[in-house]
Order: sequence, then C-alpha cells, then structure tokens
Amino acid sequence: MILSILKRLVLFLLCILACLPVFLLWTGSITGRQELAFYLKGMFEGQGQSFFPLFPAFPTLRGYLEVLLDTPEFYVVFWNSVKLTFCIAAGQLLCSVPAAWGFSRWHGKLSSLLFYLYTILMLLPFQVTMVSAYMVIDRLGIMDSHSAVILPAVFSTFPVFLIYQYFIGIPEEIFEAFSLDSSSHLRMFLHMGLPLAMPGVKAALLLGVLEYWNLLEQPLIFLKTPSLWPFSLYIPNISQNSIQYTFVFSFLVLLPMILIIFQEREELEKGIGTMVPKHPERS
Amino acid sequence: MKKILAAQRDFLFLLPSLLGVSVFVFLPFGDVVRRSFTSLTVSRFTGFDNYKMIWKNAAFRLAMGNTLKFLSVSIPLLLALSLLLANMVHFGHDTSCIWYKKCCLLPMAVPTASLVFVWNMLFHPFGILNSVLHLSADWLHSSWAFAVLTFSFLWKNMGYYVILWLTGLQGIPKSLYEAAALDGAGPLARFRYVTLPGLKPMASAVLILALTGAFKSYRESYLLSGEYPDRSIYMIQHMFHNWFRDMAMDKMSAAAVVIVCMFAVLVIPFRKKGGGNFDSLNT
Repeated sequence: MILSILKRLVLFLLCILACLPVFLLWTGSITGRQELAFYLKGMFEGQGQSFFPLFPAFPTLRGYLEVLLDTPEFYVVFWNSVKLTFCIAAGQLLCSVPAAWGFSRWHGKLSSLLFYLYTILMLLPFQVTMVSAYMVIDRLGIMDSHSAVILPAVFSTFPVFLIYQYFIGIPEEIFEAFSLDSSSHLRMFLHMGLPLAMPGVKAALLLGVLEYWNLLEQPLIFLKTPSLWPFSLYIPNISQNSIQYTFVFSFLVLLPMILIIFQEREELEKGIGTMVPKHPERS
Repeated sequence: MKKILAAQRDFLFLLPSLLGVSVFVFLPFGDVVRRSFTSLTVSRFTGFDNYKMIWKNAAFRLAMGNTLKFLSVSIPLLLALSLLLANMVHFGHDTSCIWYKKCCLLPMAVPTASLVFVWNMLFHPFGILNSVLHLSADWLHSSWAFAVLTFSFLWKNMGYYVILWLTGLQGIPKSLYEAAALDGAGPLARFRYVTLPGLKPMASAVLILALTGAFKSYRESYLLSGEYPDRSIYMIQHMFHNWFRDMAMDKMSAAAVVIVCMFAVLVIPFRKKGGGNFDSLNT
C-alpha cells in the first residue's frame, strides 16, 4: 500500500518536473516587466533572493505585442530556423530511407563494413568531424550560407540507422512473396518497403524535426552573418534588461514543437518503440 | 551471376547517401589522417609527433577524462532509471501512469536555448533553487556543474527511453509472468528471469542511441557556461572548439583520429553481421 502511494507520488512529481520549464516560460511570458524584475531580483542584482509566482499578479500580453509587432528580428531568426529544419528533414528522408532499405536488403562483407562506418559516424560528436566538414564547405564555396548547414546534415547517418532498424523488423516472408511475382527492386521498395516502414519513417522525421529545430553547433561554426542565424544563436544575445522579451521569445520558439509532440505523440511513441529490434533476429 | 546483379541493384539504393557521406566525411577525413602525421609549420611527414603532443596536452587529458566520466555516469543512470520507470508504468494501472506517459516526451520538445534560460534562473547563485532551499551554491561554476549537466541530460532524455523500454516490455507475453508467479517467483525474481532476458535483444540498439544522445548535451553546457566552463565539464567538444578557434589543425587532426579509433573499437560488438542482422549482445 505504502509502496503504491510512493510510486504514484514519484510519477506525479516527475510529471511536474517534466512540465516545469514550459510552465515557467509560459508564466514569465505573460508577466509584466516590473513584476519580473521584482521576482527575479536576486538574479539581476547579484544578491538577495529570487522566486517565481505560480501566476502573475497582473497578467499582460505586452511582451507578445513587443515581440510580434516591434521586433522584425524575431521573424528573421524564426523563419531561418523553419527553413533549415524543413530542408534538412526533407533531404534526410530522400537520402536515408533508400539507404536504410539498401542496407536491409543488401548483405555481404562490404555492406557490413559500410554499415559499421555509418554507425561510427552516427556516434561521433559533431566537433570531431568539424574540421573535415569545414574544409569541404570552404572548398565548395558555400561557407556562410544556409547550404553550409543543410548539406552536411542531410547526409547524417542517424536516420539511416533508425529506419534500418525498422526495416529489419519486417518479416522476410512478406518480401519473398512479393519478389516471386515481380522482379523490380524499385517497385518492391515503393510498394512494399515504404508503406510497411511508414511508422518508422514518420518517427525518424519527427525526431529529426525536434533535433534540427534545436540546431546550434553547425550554425555557430558555418554561419557568420547574423541575419542567417537560427534562433538558438540569437536567444543568448538577449540582455538581462529585456527579460520579458526573452521569456516570450523562448516560449514562442517552444510552442511549435509542443504542438507537434501533442499532436503526434502516439505516432512518435509507436515509431520510437519499433526502432529497436525486440525479437531475437533470425540468422 | 544473377545474385551479383541483384546485390548491385540493392547497392543503388545506398548510392545517394553514400556519395554525400563520402564527399562530406569520408574523403575529407582521409585528409585529416594525413594532416595528423604532418607538422603544421613545415608541412612534411613527422610520424607520431602530433600524437605525442596531444598525449602530453593537459586540455586533451582533461577533456577525455571528463567525457569518459560523463558517459559512464549519465548513460548507466539514464538506462537504469528509465527501465525502473518503464516497469512502474507498465505494471501499474492507475491514472498517474497515464499522466506520466502523456508528459514524459514533453522535455524533448523544449529547445535547448529556451531550456538554458530556465536552468539559468533555477541554478543562478541567487536564483530560485538557492532561494527556496536557502543554499548559496554556485551550481554552474563549481564542481556542481557536472551534476547539473547530468541532471539536464536525464531530464531531457528520460521520457524517450521510458517509451523505448515500454515497447520492449509490451513484447513480453503476460503468460511468462503468470507462469513465473505460479512457480513462486517474487517481483525481483520475475524481473531478473523474465523481464531482463525479454529486453536483451533491444539492449544494444538502446545503448547506441543513448551514446549518441549523450554527446548532444554539449549544447546545454555551451549555452550555460560558454567556451570555458568549469573544469569538471570541460569535454572534448569544448577542446575541439578552442583548438578550432586557434586553427590548431595538427592537434585537431590527431585528436580526431584518436577519437574515431576509440569509437571504431567501441562499435565492434554492435556491428551488423554478414547475415544482415544488427546482432545483439545476447550471442
């Protein structure tokens, strides 16, 4: 009995913890500037205390007006992020779905070797391959343009790995039945592989969107012009004077991703789960 | 003959991705390997001089040590805690479980830039956490920084791994648990002899995913404490960034080669076997 109450308590606290940052940003975004300065006094003045209200005493939408109407930069960095995320996610799908299919159909030593290299690449932190990427981008003459961020990310091997896991989870017999009546590999891919792997592809796409919305390291190195920056580089530059602005900004860039998570939660759950093999493989 | 032709057609699916990866990573990495054996000033072959140099380099040792420490603390913690939570959610049927499942993916949606702002408010020396607990710890600029980074990593990734384990748990037939209970196995014995073997096939893929995720916490640490964080969270990513700014190509190349070799060894047990399986730890 005590154990069950304790268990509920832990889960309940974890729910609160998971929602806390979003809640803080939301509350902060509808609180007036003076009120915020009062609550977070300790942080600004370097002494005293800071606390946070559950709900502002005088809720206001002035912060939103300021960001949405008075700050053209917001739209610039917001749409930069949208553009980068969209192009990378679309490009990744075009490249990685066929590649994952290829790996799942094509067996042999060379295929194993390549997959091994792909797995290593997937694990490497961006900084390790940064020099090589920098040299290529410089050579191609696309430094300081959006393609410098998009192109290398399109060929990320992470989605290949994820979607491959999904493909090998599909029973082989299904494909054998198909290959008896038709020999075209492309048709098998388009009519069998792709539809069957749709949940995995969808989940990989969602994970990609969540990941690249957050893009930081690549633009930090490859983009020098501030008007090309995504929002991740722009937020840290907001000074402590414009605290309300920072709240609203942080909340607004968070909003699309929250909508995606709530809209697609079941798809994502299904897809995430199926991306790791659950049954011992046939060998 | 026919078989080779068929293999070639499967290879074609791989081609776009392979071309891109070759241009952006494989080929330039060859150049990185060459540079790692050449001196920066008088570009000629110098053998292992660069490697000896980074081996003696204090920053390299510190960064490697910290990164290993971070991986060996955060990944076991993440996998164990998420497994525990997944068990709680899977075998519980009250509303707290349903709520937790609804909330647990939310942290994934929070962009790092917004999150960092919240962490700053919480962990500031005169921030909310210290005010509430009446402490005066400098969370971000002392050895606490490591704990904060680990906490942030766990917070962000926990839900994803709970969902992963949950799908694994759903794949284990209920009848196995009932049979074990009839044989007099308690909850712990059932976990040891039914749950763990049932989850084993997915363990290797989960571990690989966790490794990939762990390197992404650089974003948090960069936005929280910049290029020169506390010594305890100075990771290889910081090291590469600082060397990159100094254009220390020789050191960067040698370090990159060393790290790639370490990963190559690490991934060997997880590689795809000739049969096309992503073979698991259970062999």
